[in-house]
Amino acid sequence: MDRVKKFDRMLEKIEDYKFVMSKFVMYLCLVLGCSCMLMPFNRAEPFFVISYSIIFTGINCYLNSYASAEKGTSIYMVLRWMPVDKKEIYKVRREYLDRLVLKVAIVIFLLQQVGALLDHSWNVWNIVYPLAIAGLIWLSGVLNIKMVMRVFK
Amino acid sequence: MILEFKNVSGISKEFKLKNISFSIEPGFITGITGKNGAGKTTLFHYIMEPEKNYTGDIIVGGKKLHEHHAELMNIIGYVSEDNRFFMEKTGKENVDLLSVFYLDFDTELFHDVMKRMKLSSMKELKNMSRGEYLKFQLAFAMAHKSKLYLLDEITGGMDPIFRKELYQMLQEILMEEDTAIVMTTHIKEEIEMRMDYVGVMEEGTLVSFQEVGGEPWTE
Repeated sequence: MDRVKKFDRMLEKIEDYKFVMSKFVMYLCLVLGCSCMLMPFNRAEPFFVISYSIIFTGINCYLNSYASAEKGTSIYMVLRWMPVDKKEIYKVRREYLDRLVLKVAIVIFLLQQVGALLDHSWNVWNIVYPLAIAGLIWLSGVLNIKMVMRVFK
Repeated sequence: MILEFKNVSGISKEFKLKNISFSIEPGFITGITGKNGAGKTTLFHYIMEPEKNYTGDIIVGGKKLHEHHAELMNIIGYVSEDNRFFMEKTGKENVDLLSVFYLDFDTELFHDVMKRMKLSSMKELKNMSRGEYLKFQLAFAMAHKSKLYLLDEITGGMDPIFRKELYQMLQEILMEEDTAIVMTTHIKEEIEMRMDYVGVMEEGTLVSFQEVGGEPWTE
């Protein structure tokens, strides 16, 4: 796994502009998506899809920077003939996703509790709702990683 | 034995190989020849692709390829027009990125070989000519201390100077311990003058594999 991480660090260095931009987009999306989570569950029905979509887009915009090089060259097309195992790469990508989703889950969970308490409408759904969104983002992220890695045969 | 095919037959939908068996000793250069579509490049793809479906065994350096694919890529140097690198990046950037995967990558050797071939490491791969791109790949393969070089149609359409330079380099490569070269070619003269063994392919079958009865391989 260390080799894949070393490769990623080198890629960040060589394509620094791309990574700065994708990080900027991710943080922008996270701020917008997470802000929607201040809306308590009982008033948040239309915001469910919006929060999920914005956060998912932000996270994947950043994670996809590790999947394609300039002009859309798939990194996995290059790596498939290198002495590296597909599983090793998948584990590293999953580690990045897990870490990001965990941080997002904590933030949206807290925001949801604050929103519900201020609205005096707290109930058990205010616990389930942010966790469901985080779970869905994680699941979509896993599917996205698997999909972009399909070329790695 | 550096490479051994034992009754290898393809079971995928695409181009099939039929019951291929041969073995390659270190210290020799082996040519694979045949008409277009005979299966020469496919033969290499069976070695390179990690999830290629086949029956029989491909053994590289004494290990079964499908069980140790990633590990064995350390000692296989594939040089081909369809090999994939980061074309938008320079040779140096490609090395900086990809050398981390190899157990023993000699960056200094890479730059030395590039220098000898009068090729700048700072040139983007997309701006290299076909010959320069193949030279870059050869330098890359040498830098990760390949033991088995697979050269796919690299001399076709090349000028005599490039060919001479290439064979000089291949001669040096063969002086390394336990190293073998397998190359596909259409050029009859090349087979007669340069190869130690030749395999002839027809419609996915290896119809013959024998020692070349020409002059000894010297520059």
